[in-house]
Parts: sequence; C-alpha cells; structure tokens
Amino acid sequence: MKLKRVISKLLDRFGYVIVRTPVKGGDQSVAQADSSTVRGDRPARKSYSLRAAKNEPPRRCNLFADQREQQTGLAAQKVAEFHRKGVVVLPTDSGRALYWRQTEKFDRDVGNRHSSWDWAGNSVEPYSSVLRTGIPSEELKAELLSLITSPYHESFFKGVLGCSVSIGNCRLVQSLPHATAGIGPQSWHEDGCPPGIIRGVLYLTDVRETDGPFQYKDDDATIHTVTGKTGDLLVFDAMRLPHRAMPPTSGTRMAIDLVFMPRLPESQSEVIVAGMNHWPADPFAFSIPTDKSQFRRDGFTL
Amino acid sequence: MLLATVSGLTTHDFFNRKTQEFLPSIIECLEYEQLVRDGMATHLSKDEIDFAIAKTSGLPMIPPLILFTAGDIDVRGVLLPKLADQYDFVPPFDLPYPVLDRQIIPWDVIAEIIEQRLAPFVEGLKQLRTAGFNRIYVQPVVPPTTDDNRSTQINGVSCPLSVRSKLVASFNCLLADKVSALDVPVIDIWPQLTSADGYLLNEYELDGVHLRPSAAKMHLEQLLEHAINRAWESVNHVRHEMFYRMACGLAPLETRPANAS
Repeated sequence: MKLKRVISKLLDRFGYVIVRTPVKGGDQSVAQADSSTVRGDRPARKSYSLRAAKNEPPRRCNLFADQREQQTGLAAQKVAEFHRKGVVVLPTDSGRALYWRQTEKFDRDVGNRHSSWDWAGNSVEPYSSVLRTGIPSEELKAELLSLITSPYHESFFKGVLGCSVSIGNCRLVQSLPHATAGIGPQSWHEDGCPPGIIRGVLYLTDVRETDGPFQYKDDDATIHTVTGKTGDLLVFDAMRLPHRAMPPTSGTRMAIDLVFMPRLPESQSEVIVAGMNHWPADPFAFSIPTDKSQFRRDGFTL
Repeated sequence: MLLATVSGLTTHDFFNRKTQEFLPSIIECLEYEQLVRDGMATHLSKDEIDFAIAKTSGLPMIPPLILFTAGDIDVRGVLLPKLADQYDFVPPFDLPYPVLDRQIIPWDVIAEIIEQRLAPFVEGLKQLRTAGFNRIYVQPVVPPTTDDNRSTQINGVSCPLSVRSKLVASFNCLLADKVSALDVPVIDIWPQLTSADGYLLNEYELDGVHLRPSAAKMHLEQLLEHAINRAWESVNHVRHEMFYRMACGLAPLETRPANAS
C-alpha cells in the first residue's frame, strides 16, 4: 500500500494520475483520484450548468495605448488630443482627396453585397436610400496604405492604440441631402467596435454645418460638430463617443469610411475592402469577403 | 452551425430550474461539438487550451448558430391525451380552426399547462444566452399529420384534426411569445407548410410525426437568411481583445495591465 502511495505521489508530481475502476475495500486515495478525474487531466463533471460569459464591446477601444508614445512620438500633440477628447482631425493632401472625389465611383446602394459568415456587417438589403457607397479603386487602396504606414501616422496610431494598424475595411460613402430624420449612421449611435478598433472618416468634400458634418457627444453629453475641409481625416473612438453623421440638408457629402484595426508586429499592413461589413468576427481567422450579389441573384442552393 | 438530434427532448426536461443544470445530453452534445468545455462556451474562453485549439484549427471562433426544436413530445405526450376526442378549446389567437361540438376547456387551463411545460425550456435558452450563445434559434412544432388513423396509431389516442392542429398552433404562439422576449428568433415556416385552412399540406407528410427533407431545407434557408442579416452578432470581442493585446506586444491571455485606462 505504501508503495502504491509513493508511486501515486511520483506520478502526481509529473501531472499524471492513476485512473482505474475503484475496488471495494481498495486504496481510498486511488479511488478518490478515480472519482475526481476524467481522462487523467480534467476534473470530474460536477454539474451540467454553464458559466456566464461576457461578449461585449468595451467602453473605450484603446485600452492598451502606449503612454510613453504620447510624450515623445512624432504625432505627440494629436495623440494627446485623441486621448483627451476621443476624436482628432489629421490633415491629409487635399489635392489627392479632390482627385479621389472626381475619380472614385459611388455607384452602389448600401445593401451588404459582401455579406459573410465571418464578418460583422450590415443587412443584405439597403437600410437607406439617401446613402450611396462604392468600392475603392486599387490606386486609392495603395495610397491609403502609404498613408497609414508613413512615419507620422505610424507614430500617431502607436500613440493612440499602442500598436500599428491595418485598414480593416474602407468604403466610399456619399450622403445625399434630405429633409428627413437621419437613420443608420445619421442617427446617434455607438459602433459596437471591438477592443483595438477605431474609426476614421476622410472627407472628400468641404463639410459645412449643412453638408452632414460629424457630430459627437462628449463625456458631459455636450454635442460637438466637426466641420472640415476636403482631405481632413477624422479619427475617433466610436465606443467612447456617441456620434452620428448629421443629415446633410444642402450639399452632398462624400467621404471614405475607414476601420483601423490592430496589426500584429510580425505582419504587414494591409488595406481590406469588405463592402458594407464592419470588421472580422474573429481577427485571428477570417477570409476577405467577396461580392455575392450575382450569387444572390441566381439563388442559393443548399 | 449545429444540427444535432437529442432523442426524446422535451421542453420540460430541457433545464432544471432547481439545480440550474441542463439536461445532460444537451451539454454533452455541445461538448461533443466542442462548443462547450469545462462548463464554458469555448468561443469565449480565455483558457490556454482553447486558445491553442483555436489556433490549430484555423477556424474563426464565433458564436455558433444553434437551432433548437422541442415541444412536439410535450404536445403529443401531455396535452393531446387530455383533450382526446372529448374536448375542444378557444384560444385567444387568430387561428383558422373551427370550434367543434365538444365540451370546451377554458383557455386558462390549457395555457397554464403549456406555460408549465415551456418554462424550463425558456429558462434554459436564457442561460445559454448568458453563457455567450447569442445566436440561438427556435423552430416551433411542425403542423401535425392530417391522417386521423395515423395520428391515433402514433399517439395512442384519437383527437380531431382541427383540435390537434389548434393545440400545436397555440403551443407555438405561446412559445414564440416567450422566446421572442429573450431576443431568440423563431424560424416559423407554417405559412409555407399549411393550407389556407391551417392544415399540413400533403406534400410535406412523411411518417405522421416528421416532415419531408424539403421542409427541413426551408427551415435552414430561413435560418440562414435571418442570420446573415444579423451578422453583427457574430463578433467575438474576447478574441479581439486577445488580438489587440498581441498587437501591443502583450501576452494574449494576461489580465489587463495596471496602466490601462
């Protein structure tokens, strides 16, 4: 019996246990090991209940921001402003923004033609008739990639998020003037962004009060309106700030909607086009969604 | 998506409200499909083993689509024998079935029995949602066979077609009310399966209990159509946080650092 106990102890030290059918009157310590283990390394089932688990967006999306970068980075001032307010405007080349406004095609409704099982996204049917969208050209994608990987923007995102970024989705958005109340992005909302994901809007038109500017509510629920010039890039924490694109009443607003998502240190920056989707459901494993409008027209076959 | 069969599943046995435990075969089924491990939804697990399994599989860890169908045995085994060929009832729903020249049982009595049967099922669905299964669906009980002889043979009791159809439809109405309150969608294809007078179309008859595969396909299509239009529910914030941590040079499974806001 002593020998058994010694062997058991030795095995236990290496993470093993003896599993065998208890014998009446046999070694109680071994019998207990039997009843408390399943497949050697897991505790025996105690119940058939399930533990509660949270799957909710954070209240702020930049939980792991590098505080040092705020002090010393190239974009220190803008980083500090972002941390203070949750939103910042970065100027970009207005000439290029004007070029994109003239050359990019806003030729689609806002139905989600790229619907995908591994992406969070909008409904297949369009939710608005006053919003148009479009797929960015390869040329625009390349330029956006250059933008986010420039030393200044690299420094900015590291300061704001604590890491470099990829563009998890970019799409063209055109807001037509209308007198009705805003729905979708034109009503007050938070985006439900996962941790590490922040949003951007690059204005392709001058945006005055009547052209559908970005509005947000600060911590005191005070409403702020962010008018801007062609080429202005708004970057904001879409969970910290309730926000909306104010419904335009006179001019048409054109912009590029951007989703900035963390990039692993060993991976390359990329610009993903995922249509009316938001972000991958699981950032570790996802496919790039394709346009399924033809597929849908022809009908699914299971 | 999980499509598995748990034999003899009733709404009443689904969840034990006293012990807060599910019917063992429910959990065992979820474990077999690797959706649950150690009492936890695996897609939301912060356990190293689950993280390693997810990495190895290369598959997205997202809330699974799960369709539950239960209630047929509750209706045929408990309610139908009480009515048999002697009673009828008048439900407060807009249903197309006539009232027969039978003794009428007050609706309250019928409703109470149905609600008692449903309560454990509804509580179980609530627990599943709390555990992180936010994309669960319920399929109502399918329309009963129109073949009286077959029905009598299967159920061991004679009950008129209008009464048994009305009973199932009423059960489904209460089921829909209860689960919709939990934001659990109901995949209801009764309009496609039944005639204008509310009875099962002959083309879907199979064995007096189940329907033909074409009906299963219709259920599946409706479920997928619904789910793809609520794709925002597929996001896994736990995995996003792990990814963000790794992007910042932190270990994916550590707790939040002290300097984080």
